[in-house]
Amino acid sequence: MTSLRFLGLVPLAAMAATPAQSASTCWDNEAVGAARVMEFQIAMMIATLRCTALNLDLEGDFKRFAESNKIVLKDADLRLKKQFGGTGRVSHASYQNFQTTVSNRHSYRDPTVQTCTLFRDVAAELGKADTSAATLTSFANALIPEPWIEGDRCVQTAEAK
Amino acid sequence: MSKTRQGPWCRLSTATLSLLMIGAISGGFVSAAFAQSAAGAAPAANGIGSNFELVFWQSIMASDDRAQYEAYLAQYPNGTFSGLARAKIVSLSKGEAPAPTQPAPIAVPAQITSTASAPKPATVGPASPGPALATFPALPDVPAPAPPPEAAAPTARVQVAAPASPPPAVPGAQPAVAVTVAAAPPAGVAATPPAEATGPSLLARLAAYSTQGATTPALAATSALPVRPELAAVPPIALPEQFCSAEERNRFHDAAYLPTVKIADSNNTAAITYLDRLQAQYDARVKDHDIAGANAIAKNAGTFRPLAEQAYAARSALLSLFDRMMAVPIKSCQPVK
Repeated sequence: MTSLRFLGLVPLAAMAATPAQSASTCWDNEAVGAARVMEFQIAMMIATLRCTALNLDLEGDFKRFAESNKIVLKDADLRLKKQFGGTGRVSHASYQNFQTTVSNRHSYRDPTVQTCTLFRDVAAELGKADTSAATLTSFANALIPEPWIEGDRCVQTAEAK
Repeated sequence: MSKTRQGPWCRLSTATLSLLMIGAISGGFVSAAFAQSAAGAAPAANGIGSNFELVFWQSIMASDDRAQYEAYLAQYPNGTFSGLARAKIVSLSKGEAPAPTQPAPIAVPAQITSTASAPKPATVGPASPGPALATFPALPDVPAPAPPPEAAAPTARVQVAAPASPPPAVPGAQPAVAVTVAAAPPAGVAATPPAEATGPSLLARLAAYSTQGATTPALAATSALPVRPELAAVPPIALPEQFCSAEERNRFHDAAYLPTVKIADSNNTAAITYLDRLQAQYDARVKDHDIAGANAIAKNAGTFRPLAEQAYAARSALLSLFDRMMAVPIKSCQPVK
C-alpha cells in the first residue's frame, strides 16, 4: 500500500562507522553474577518502596544494606556497564532499559506484612558491619536463582576464563 | 475498576526520595538522573520515553483523577502515553473511566525488500505508514486484566555509584552462574557463603519467597529473546570522477558497489528478521495478556530500532549511489595522439 523511497543521501562514511551491537555480547558468568546482584538490589529497593505503603519503614535497613555492600554493588554496576558496551549514550540507554525491565519484573507481587518483614530482616542481616560479599551473594542466589539478562549466556564453564 | 488511591506526587515523592537516598549513599548518578527528570526528562532514544516518564505514568495510570492526567500532559505533552492520557481525560469528563491497562495495538515492523544485483526502491509493508520502522508501543506495566492495589506504584530504578574503591570479587554460589565480578577479593571471601553469616532460616525464607513466584513466568520467558544480529559496517564508496570505459564501470560495479550492497542488504534483512521475531513474541505476549512481557520486548525493540533504521538508511542510500555511479561520465583515457 505504502511505498517509501529514501530520498536523502546518508553519508556512507557515517554508515561505515556504525558500531557493532554491543548488546549482542554474550553473558559470561561474571556478567550473570553481576546481573543477579543488581537484580537483588533492585528487588530490595522495590520492597523498600512498596512496603512504605503498608506503613512499614525499611529505608533505614535498606540504607545500611546499601552502605555495607556498596563495594560489591558498585562492582556489579561496573561489570554491567561493561556488558552493555561502556559509557556511551546508546550503551547507557540500554543499561537503563535493562534496569527498568528488571525493576518491572519485581513490581508485581503485592507487599504483605510477611514479605515486608522478610525483606526487612534480609536488609538488616546484610546491613551488618561485618557482612561479606559471600553473604550478599548467598542471599542474591536465594532470591534470584535466575537473573534476567538480555541476550544469551556465553558457552563456557564456570572454570573457563 | 480501580479507585483513586494515593496521589501520584506522593508516590513519586516516595520513589524519588529513595532514589536520592541511594544517590546520597553511593554517588551522584541517581541525583543527576532525578535532576533530569525534574527538568523535563528528555525522551530516551528507544521510543518509549524516559524512565521517569514511565514512572510518572505508572504512578497515575490506575487513577481516576483527571487532574493527574492533566499533570502528566503538562509535563509530557508529546509523551509516550499522551494519547492515553487525553483519552482518559475525555473519558473521565464523561464520568466513565477506560481501563488503563488495555494494551495498544502494535504496529507491524517495516518490510524492506531489495536485491543486491538489481537495486530498487525499498518497499515498506502494507501496514507501515510513515516512518520506515515502526515503533513498538509501550504498554502499561501492570498485569492484566486488573492491577493489584499497589500495581501503580512507581517502578524503582537503582543506579549504584559508590565511591571508587578496590573492587572485590563477588563469589557465586551456583557454578552455572558463578559471579566473579572483579579481581582483588576482600579477605574472607569464599566461593561458598559462610553459613554462620547468612542465617539459614532467613535464606530459606528468601528462597521460598522466590519460588512462590517473585517473578512472572512470562517475564522469565522473555529472557529467551532472540539474539540481536551483528550488523556489519558498510564500507564507504568513493565514485571516480570518470570511467575510462563502460567495462571499467562494470568492474567498479562488481568490485565495489555490489559487495557493499550485499553487506547493506544483509544488515537490513537481519534487522527485519530480528524485529519480526520480536514482533511475533510481542503479539504472543499480548495475546496471553502478559503486559510485562510485551513491554520487555517492546523495550528491547526500542533499543534496537536506531540500528535498524541505520541499516535501512544505509541500504537506501545505495540506491541513489547507483544512479550517481551510472551518471559518472565515461571518457576515453587513451592519450590523444
